[in-house]
Amino acid sequence: MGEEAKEEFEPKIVGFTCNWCTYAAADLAGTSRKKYPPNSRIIRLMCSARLDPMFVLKALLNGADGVFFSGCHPGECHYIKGNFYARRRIAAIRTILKQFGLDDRFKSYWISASEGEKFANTMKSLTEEVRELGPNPMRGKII
Amino acid sequence: MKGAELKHGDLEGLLKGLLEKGVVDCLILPHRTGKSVSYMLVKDADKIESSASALFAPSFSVNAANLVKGWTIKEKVGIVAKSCEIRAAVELIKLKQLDNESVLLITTDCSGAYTNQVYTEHYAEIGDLVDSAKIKELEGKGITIRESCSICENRLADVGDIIIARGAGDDLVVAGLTEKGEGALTALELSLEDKDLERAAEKEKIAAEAKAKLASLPELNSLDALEEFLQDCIVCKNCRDMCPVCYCKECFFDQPLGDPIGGDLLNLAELRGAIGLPTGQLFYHLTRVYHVSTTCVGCGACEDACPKDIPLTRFYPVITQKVQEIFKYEPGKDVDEPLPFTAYEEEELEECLR
Amino acid sequence: MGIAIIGGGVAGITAALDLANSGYKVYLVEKNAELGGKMAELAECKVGLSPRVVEIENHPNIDLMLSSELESLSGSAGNFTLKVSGTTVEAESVILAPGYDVFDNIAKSYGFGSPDVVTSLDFEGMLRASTMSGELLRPSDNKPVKKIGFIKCVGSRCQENEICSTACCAYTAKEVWVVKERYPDIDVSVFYMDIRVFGKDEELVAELKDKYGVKYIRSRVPEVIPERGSLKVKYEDLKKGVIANLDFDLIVLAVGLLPSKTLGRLSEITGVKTDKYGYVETSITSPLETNMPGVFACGTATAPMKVRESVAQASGAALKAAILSQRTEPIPGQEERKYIEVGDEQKIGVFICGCEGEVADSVDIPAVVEQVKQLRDVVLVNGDTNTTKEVLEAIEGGIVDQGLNKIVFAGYTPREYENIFKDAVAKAGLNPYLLEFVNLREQCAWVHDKAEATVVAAGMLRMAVGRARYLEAIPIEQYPVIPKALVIGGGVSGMNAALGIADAGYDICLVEKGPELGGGLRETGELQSGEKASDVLKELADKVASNKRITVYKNAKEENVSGRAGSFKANIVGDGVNEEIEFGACVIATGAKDVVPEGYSGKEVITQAEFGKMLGGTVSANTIAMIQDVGEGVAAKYSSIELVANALKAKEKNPNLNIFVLYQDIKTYGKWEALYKEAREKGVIFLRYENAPKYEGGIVTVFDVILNDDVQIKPDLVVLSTPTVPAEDNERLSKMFKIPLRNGFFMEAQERPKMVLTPVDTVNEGVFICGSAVYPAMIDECMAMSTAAASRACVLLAKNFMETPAVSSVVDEQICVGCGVCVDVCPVEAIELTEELIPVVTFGVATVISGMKKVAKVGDGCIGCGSCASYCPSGAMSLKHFRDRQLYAQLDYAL
Repeated sequence: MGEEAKEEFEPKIVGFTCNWCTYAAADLAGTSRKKYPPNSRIIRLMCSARLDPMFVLKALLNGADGVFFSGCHPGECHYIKGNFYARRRIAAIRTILKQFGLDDRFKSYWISASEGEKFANTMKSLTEEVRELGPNPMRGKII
Repeated sequence: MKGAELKHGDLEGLLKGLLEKGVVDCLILPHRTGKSVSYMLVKDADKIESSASALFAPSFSVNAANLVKGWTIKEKVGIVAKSCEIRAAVELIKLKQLDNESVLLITTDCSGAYTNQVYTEHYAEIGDLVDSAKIKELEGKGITIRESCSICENRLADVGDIIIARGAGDDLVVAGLTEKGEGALTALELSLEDKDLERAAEKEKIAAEAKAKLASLPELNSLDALEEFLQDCIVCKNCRDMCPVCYCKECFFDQPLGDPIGGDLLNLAELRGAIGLPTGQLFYHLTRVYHVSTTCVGCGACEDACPKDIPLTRFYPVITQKVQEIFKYEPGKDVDEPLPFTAYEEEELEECLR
Repeated sequence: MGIAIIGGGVAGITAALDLANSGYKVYLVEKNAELGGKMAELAECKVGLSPRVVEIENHPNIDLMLSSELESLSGSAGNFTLKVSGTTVEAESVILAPGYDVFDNIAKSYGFGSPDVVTSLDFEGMLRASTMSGELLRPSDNKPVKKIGFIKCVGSRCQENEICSTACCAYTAKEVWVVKERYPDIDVSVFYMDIRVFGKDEELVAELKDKYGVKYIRSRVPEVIPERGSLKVKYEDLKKGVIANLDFDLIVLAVGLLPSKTLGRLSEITGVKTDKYGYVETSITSPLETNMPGVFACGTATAPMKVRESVAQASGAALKAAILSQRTEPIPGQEERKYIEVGDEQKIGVFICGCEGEVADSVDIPAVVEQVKQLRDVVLVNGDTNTTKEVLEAIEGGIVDQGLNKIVFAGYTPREYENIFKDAVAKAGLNPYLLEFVNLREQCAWVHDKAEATVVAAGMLRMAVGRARYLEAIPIEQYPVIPKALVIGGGVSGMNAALGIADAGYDICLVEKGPELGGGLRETGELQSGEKASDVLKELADKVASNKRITVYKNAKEENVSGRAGSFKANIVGDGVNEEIEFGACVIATGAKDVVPEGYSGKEVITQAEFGKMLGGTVSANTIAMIQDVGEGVAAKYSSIELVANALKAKEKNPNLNIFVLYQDIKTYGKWEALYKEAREKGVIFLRYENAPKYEGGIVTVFDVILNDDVQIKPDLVVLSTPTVPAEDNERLSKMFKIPLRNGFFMEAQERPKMVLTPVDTVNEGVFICGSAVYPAMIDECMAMSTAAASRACVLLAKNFMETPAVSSVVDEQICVGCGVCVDVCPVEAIELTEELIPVVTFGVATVISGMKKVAKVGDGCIGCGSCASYCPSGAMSLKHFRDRQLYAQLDYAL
């Protein structure tokens, strides 16, 4: 796509975060007034284990330009090992998305509650990466 | 493994023995009706005769595992079927849709199969038995095996409890692969000796051919390509119904959230401006491929089931194989191996996460 | 009557809430117009504390007396009369929590007076300002700061204030961390004498050094010389033994803590004695009691300390005060609640709070209100409130007067405010799970520019309204609280916790895995206070033995723990015992154990504890080498203190004794610094090493960094400070009670990163931790912490009933096909498969065939992570409040 079109394109991103780590990190980014782009909407889950890969599929099919997931670092799950199971599911769905070149639109992160800065920076880099990818081909499609 | 050498003619007796000696309470095995082959459930040993010419028949009708899915009775059932069917049965055991104690899984060697329509139509040319040479020869005449069989690397898989392996000519080897399988053969008073099927080279050859075939298939590598691929899908969900490892009692896509009707449809249309009807082809198939991603045995029953002739083999097994690779998991190989989604290692898969 | 708490800082707030939430009347007296004390001045802390402030402001059991001071106190324990700014208050007990003041007589040599030399408290203000502007600016010329020097121990460990302020090392580390997180390019150096941090803080300092590249420079008191445009720090480079200079453009002085200026007057009014440093006098075995019965002290009134320790003391003091008082008030949330039936009609009310301008300044609320009004099923949108109080009232009004049956609240973060709002919704008669939160302040207003924030806010509200439509009233079931506690571990902490709970009127099972009570203290000779450890232990053990409420199990351990807060079950298995017990709360006090470091052997090698016992008799040695900080494990908080105390006692016995102390950091925090000073004065020689000393052939060889050479000592006695490792049982208990460990020690529940307001609570509600099971600590801290754990347990036990967790998984049995994967992916083994026979229609007559139907069943242990729901392909398993339908709605409206 042309440079001009890129400039106009504002990515829509949906993120799923664990309440105990990344959601708290997002709060901390707020407390520290770390500005980041306004493109992401967060859906709060209690644990990354609640992320059903179907959510990712649905988001992408509904036209989300980017989807991200972020949970506690492996080994630090509030629910002891929820994120280990989550990681397997995510790896599976990523592999499926990869087949259709969609894996670049789905990012996963581990961001702990104290990493407010990392959260803000992640939102920045994520938005830029998705902007670079351009709009989701599903956007506006009648499916 | 321990096994015995037999001739084709011995099989009938062997299977009868299973019933007569009470090793199993009933048997599910291929059954010939005229030119066609399907399955039958046998209680009376005398009825086994009709099976003899069908045991290795290169015909695929339904996946035998799909016939016993949810079979929760205590009575023991012996299942004689091709490796993809037995492997599906093993996955069903892991998913508790079959009880390992109530089944005796007997795998027969497969050289690749034709859809039952093709088989019936060309029975005169194909016959009761084929080998790779014969398959090649028939291919020249435009009679081809199912695409899922042509990309299957596990035609000679030593899975289940007992393997019935074909040797040269009329030779067979029957061998126990598990304690249960060996026990069954012992009960049949076969004189068992240590056996090595020695067919690694053959397996490798099959795998190489399957890989080459897979590589030659058109790839679905974009969402646009997938959309085009599925454009004729009517979401009849027949692929799901015939899938041996799709095991839900009530599918998500039969529930309001997955199968919206009336007001729910209207809400969606309001939200998005317009929606296609039937809606959700992509969501349905992508979800289904995720749901079977670790358990799909690549039997191709989905493709056979599609009334719109969508070559689903290019979608399901192709993708699920890639998922299985990241978990180094081979569905159906070992009944004691945990399902990938129920296990984890503390450090793994970092390359799959970005 | 009730309990009067003097001081509304973090300690006062904590004590007030523990008491009020267990049914006591509380008078909270604060001299300022706002609660929060010093913490309200710290940017990060204020946000963390504010939900508690809101809770206090809305608490029916708390009389908040702001801008008030204690004028007089008469009467005695159980019957005090207080005059508070003219008002008479009657109370059974009093808690003093006046907090601290910062050292302000800063020496000129620090360049203080130059605008770019600031105190740590001023620096907090700069950090707060920088959150708005995005830049950290130098006060003198408003140019971005590039190089900061932190100087520790300003106004502590000095002539004017000889003790160590304890908190500065950790708070400096936190300030440095904030700087490096926000401005990675700012160069930071920290000048210090010793780094006195433990556990998690120790990890933070290591991270600062290794990951963030912060230079920690050990030096004696540096001098700051303001020069044109920069600040020169002249310091003694101890490694090179030369005077060196470094230039900075900002200097932060980590100022010490002093007793609150009000403490003197409080002491006069109450008769409470203070020590020579001006802190309330307490003893190490009774750290919360003053000389006046019925008057307790906590937090920095008793010694300089960090928030974690203050909060623990405050909870402990609350229990001490409660024991002397009568419970007179109803416990909030224990009243019968009836919820209105929600019909099919959706009546969604949306409340957007300005959050004291924090949201209103960034988000164009009227514009958002207009957009939200357009959404289907929204019958009311209120954008007129600006405070928590206002919005809570508006919500209650909306439910009661306008019959709203779904509430969307937009404002603060749900992580800290959800309970307050849920409670208000419930009080108004609406099931609390019909409330949806929108985090407008933290995740929108504070992070986006004005134009963007309004768009984002509207988007977030759309999602919330979409989700609200599918929220369900979750039936809230109550179950009775079993008024009994289990205490695990029969050391000092365990015994003290048991006694605290028993004194509050509950039965206790005290389980000790060994044959005797006493734990680690049995290895100790004298306490630092001079008391014999055995006397202290005997007194505690006697009290435990004679207390009818306490049943002691020795040589026993607990197995098969099940249940949840308020109603647990376990088996106690041991010598001839196998008993099932039920309990409402549990305190884990497993302690820790010392290990003798490897590489030092010989009959002249003993441990510091053994040396302590030896000091009771004769010490026949001329030269002693004491070695600290060697071996695997962590250094206990008392390690350095025990060392200097023993060295002093030995010197007292034999002044000619040569004592060499080989160490890395002497961590004599707080008042114990005086012992360190005295030891040096009395000629104990301290040698700091970087590489562990060697002991071969009777000779200790160490490379002294100051002499820059090997030093050899031929001691008659080598005394090792033993590192500490977690109790072996921790691993097992961690699994059983589902509490994570950090380096083998139990981890507290954390609401906020890097700030601990709940030091004895764990992620498993109803299970509390204390003493050396958390981190090997001094006896005073163990006593305070175990009383705190007892206090927190009693807050729970005071309730008549608890509510079953609403966010838990539920099975649709019609859909469940019994695959059992949910059983495998449940992290807490809360799901089981049940089997039932299903009738099978049989054709003919030959055999009777029976089928088995397997169905998943979610047990009490479910903690609501949703792992099962995410696997279940048919959606038979779902997580209440996070159902697919609800999440899909959010997703649909997000795009």
